[in-house]
Amino acid sequence: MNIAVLIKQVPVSNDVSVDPVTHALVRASSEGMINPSDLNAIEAALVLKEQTEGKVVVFTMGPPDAEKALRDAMALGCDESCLITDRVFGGADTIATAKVLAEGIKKYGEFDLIMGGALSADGATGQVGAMVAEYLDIPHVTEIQSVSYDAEEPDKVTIIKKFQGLDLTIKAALPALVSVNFGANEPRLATLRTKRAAKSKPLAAYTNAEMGMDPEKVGLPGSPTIVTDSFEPESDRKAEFLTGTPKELAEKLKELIETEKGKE
Amino acid sequence: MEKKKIGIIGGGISGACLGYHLSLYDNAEVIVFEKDTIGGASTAKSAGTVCLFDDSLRNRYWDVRLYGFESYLKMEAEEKGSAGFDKTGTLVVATNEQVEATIKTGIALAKAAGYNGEYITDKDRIKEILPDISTENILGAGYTQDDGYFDGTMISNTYAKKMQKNGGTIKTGVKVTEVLVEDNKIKGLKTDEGETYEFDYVVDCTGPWSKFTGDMVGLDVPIWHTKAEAFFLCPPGKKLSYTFPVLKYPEFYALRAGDNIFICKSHLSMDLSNPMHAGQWDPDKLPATGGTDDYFIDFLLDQLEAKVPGIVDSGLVSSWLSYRAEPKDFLPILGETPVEGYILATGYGGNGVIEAPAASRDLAKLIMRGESTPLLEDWSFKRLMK
Amino acid sequence: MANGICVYAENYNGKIEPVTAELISAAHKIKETTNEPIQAIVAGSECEALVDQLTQSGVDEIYAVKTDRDCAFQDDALSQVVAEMLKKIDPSSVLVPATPMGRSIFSRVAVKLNCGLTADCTELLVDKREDGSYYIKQNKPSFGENVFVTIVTKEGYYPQMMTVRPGVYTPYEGAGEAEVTYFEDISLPESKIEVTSAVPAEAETDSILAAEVVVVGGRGAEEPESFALLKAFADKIGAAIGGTRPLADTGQIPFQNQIGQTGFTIRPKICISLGVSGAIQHTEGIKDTKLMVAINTDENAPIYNIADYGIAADLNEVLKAYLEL
Repeated sequence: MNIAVLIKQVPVSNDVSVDPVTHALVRASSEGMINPSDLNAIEAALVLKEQTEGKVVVFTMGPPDAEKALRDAMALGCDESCLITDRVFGGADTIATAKVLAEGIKKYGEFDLIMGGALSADGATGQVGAMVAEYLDIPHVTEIQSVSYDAEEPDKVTIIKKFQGLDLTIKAALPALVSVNFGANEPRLATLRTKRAAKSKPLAAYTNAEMGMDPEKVGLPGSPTIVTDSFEPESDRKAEFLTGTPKELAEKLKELIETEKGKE
Repeated sequence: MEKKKIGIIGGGISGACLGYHLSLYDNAEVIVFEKDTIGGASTAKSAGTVCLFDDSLRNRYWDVRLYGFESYLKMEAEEKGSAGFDKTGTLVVATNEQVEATIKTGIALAKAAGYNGEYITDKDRIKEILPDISTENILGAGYTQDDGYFDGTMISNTYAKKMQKNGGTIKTGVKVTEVLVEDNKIKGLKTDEGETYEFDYVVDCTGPWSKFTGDMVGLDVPIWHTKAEAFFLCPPGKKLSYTFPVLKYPEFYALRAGDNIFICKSHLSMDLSNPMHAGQWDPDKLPATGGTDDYFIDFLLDQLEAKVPGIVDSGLVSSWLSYRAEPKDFLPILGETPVEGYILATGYGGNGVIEAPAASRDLAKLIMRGESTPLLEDWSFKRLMK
Repeated sequence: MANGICVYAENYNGKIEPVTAELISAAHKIKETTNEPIQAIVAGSECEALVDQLTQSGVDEIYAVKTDRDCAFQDDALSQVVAEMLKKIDPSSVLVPATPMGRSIFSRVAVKLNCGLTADCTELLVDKREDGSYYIKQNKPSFGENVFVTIVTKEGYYPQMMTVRPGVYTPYEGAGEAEVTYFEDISLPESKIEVTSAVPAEAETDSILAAEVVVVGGRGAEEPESFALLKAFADKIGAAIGGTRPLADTGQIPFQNQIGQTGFTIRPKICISLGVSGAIQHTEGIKDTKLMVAINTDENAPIYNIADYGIAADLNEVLKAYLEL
């Protein structure tokens, strides 16, 4: 089974503030890492690959330094990678991002399964995967716990997804796309040796010279939505102190927990 | 008795420990200014090894090492966990005769102070202590069960609490923006809260930030940053079946962190003229994790393959980068400067946790009584002016 | 001309999800300015029953498609139905719950309509363009909750489509009778997805990484009495137990559950920290929580810089009181 894994390089720290004059985002550090749930997707992909043979190719769209995330993914055992990078792809919303990723996957080759993390740690939209599936005209299941393959049913994968206290078993016809929840499995770790080996694994770089997309339909111009402003939340996340007798405090605590649990 | 007012910039191990030692004097009025949290920056990334004998500090400064070690043992005895002591013992490996001689002297000093220590040449015994080690190309190893590593952040916070109990003040989340000097004499400082404080002495305890701190009084503090690059390794099989001791080679050191192993390039192996090792950087830009260089992977792989092959296939859990503040002779800078009342307690490099107690004890005496000590003479700012 | 504020009535097993009433509240806020009708769209095999649940909910119009089978999670097919409905209704805005189901269906709808989809909005504000037309400023958190961004659907793209975070708007108290339209000519296409079973989930794994609710103990919780209370409390609220290094050192929690720089990073929805001082090497391990409550007697503890709520009291007393509730 050939698997494409879509990953995103996210900042190590979500410590971001807003410049009061320009309203531009000021990041505390430029250090990037593989988005946490993408590591769960990579783990699930590597397990499937070991079981079925084939290869795992990891894709990302981002600035040239996103190569680091791809090398890290290859250090975990992914076989090849593809960096989609061009200024014209910058400023993309989820639609314009998915469009380019789908095009990159098509250009790279045929895949039986496309995987990704469920939500990114920075944007947390959880949308790009399903959008890629729509552009590729294949079925998808998002926010899953596991995916398995049975040679008896070679044209399907079996998915476990949690929903409202239920474990759903879902079968998806291949090719399909799934997005994997954070914590769904325990991602393996790179070692010093695999880190070194990853340096010489193949990495394809696609700019728009290779992709040939209409610059008006990608990046910022190709995005139906735009960010017009950014601001810091009113509370600086300094704790609001609760007071009262232990019983009153316990009741307030209970209410907070239950309200938050009630959401979603 | 007239009070002496002292402002300390920086609440890492240096500032917290000095604040505590000053607070022991009745006529000291101390305020520590920390822009973030106590012991939260370089100190938090310190390995915290305080070993009875290793190459981190020359045997000449044995009493510095012993005073630090015993200060923390006492702290830990008063309240368990307050110094974060993990008594794993230490194995110092001799790869050449010079190292061997240093270890043997160290063992003799440790024994004289009442601790256990032995120099082992029986390779089977070395393998019993650390089964994953390679005993080829080594002469022997020094071993003690009595020491281990501490937690610099916990120590800093414990010192901060003790200092507050003695009447000292800690201001966290407060950044010093200006140091006030008149006629080459310290007057006080200003903070980002808009407050002005009057002080007789201002002490720079900002370690890797000292270049920037010194700028505020027009003082060029001669420190370089060397990179402390560290990995947390998850051993094959996820859990070791033995107590991993603090392990010291001239090139690197390792210690356990829970079930993981923390490994770091040693500070004396850093070359101040190698731009990969040393330079002048901005510690505010350091990420909390990550940031290590590629060469470090190759370096560690080669080192572990040759020296501790049993853990070479460990998983890489996380890594971090920290900047050590190092003067060119790798010793701290303590005491008076050309600006009257402006005191330095910086440049500890990788040794802040080891050296801060003895250095602070002597600095407090200098500030409160005007009496210098041989240690302060050795580690004075003057020595670097030559 | 696009007109109407359209709400997606998410449903499962014949039941309209309660979050729909929250979206209707959000729609009413928009209506106050734009005066557009509020529409609900619903599709499902038990369509009549779903429509019944909506008629008194405070929407003006209901548009419905009865599907020939249960189509939950067949989002390749369902998104086609929804896209066709929206083309017919032509609303100016579409509000979707920011739930796994909502974002899964509407991500595909957004591609089909080439209209964009703003994720996880916590505030919707109406503003006016120079030509007098209205548009919605869609505010959403980013980078954890560290900053908020305003997103706008570019002029000329319709509908303005967004998912709205559950729990932000209070549910609308229904009134009035809605006008119902069934689209008989829209049918559910084939799907390549099949749900073969739905069974009550097995007990949550002990993995601290996957846990949505976590209780983290620090040095202040290491006394056996405190730790016993902590465990009982965690049981009661269904939380996994993590600890910072001081607690791991006591052996009361396994190293696998140690969080912080030398342990794991967790991303729970809810985190209750008990006796954690909040030194950076501990708090580095807790990210992106939606609710963090800290209990620590020291009012100046750094943990209160990252917690949403603080309780500066004896954790033993508070936990005892909690267990008696």
